Amino acid sequence: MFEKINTMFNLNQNLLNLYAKREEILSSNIANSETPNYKSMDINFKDTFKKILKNNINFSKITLQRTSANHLLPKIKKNNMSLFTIQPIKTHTIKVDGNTVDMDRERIEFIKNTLKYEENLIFIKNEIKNIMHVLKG
Amino acid sequence: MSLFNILDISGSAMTAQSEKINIIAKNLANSESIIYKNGKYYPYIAKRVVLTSCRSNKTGIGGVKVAAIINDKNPIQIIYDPNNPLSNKKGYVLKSNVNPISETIEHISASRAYQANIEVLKTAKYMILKTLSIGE
Repeated sequence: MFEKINTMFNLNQNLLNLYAKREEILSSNIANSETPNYKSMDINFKDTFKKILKNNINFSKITLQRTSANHLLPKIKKNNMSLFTIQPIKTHTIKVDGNTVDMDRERIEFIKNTLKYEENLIFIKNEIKNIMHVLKG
Repeated sequence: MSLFNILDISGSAMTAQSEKINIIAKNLANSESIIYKNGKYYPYIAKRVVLTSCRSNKTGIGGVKVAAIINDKNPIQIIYDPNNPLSNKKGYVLKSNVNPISETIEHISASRAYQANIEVLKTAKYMILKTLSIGE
């Protein structure tokens, strides 16, 4: 049963991680809005989401020593850290000092990202509420 | 956790921007100053803050830091003022190269950047608190 709950939250957990990472990148862009030669960074959401979906299904086995046949085989996701590929965004506006941060874009993306994060949190909360409803009857 | 890194990133940017405002205040305050050095009088030379990003090599993102404080390259003004006790034989006085207009504009842009980072910080804090309330 708990494994089922685990898989229920798996996608949402990965998405929360992704949004948190993206929030960090956007905040770095805003922080470096006046740094010469800083290039505005971002995550390609579509590709990353595809990777998350794929990783959700493909589990690789962790190598733990099993001294009894009754021990469980733990599962772990493959290289969770390399999910995010951070790359400079393509833009047509470059300032004289080589900085490519467009503050309007960054702010809007920041707000959007925050709202999506909260949306995901509410999804998780509702899922927990559902489980509690079922448990309490 | 990524959300805690935001606090570091925005905090470093706020430090850098307030350092910038600090230097601007110094420039404006000293726009009429004269510095006595090695038996000679020199006009005050405006200072500029150079920012660099202290990003990690792995991810390419990170905060800001003040790389150096350099002298402004604007030329020093020479003004004809024979009544000034510091004037030379022909009656010219060297005046500081602080430009109040450009200082004011720099100040506005630095304080706007500071405000933007405060907003980011507020949002990050709000997100962390929201995350902590999962399952309540």
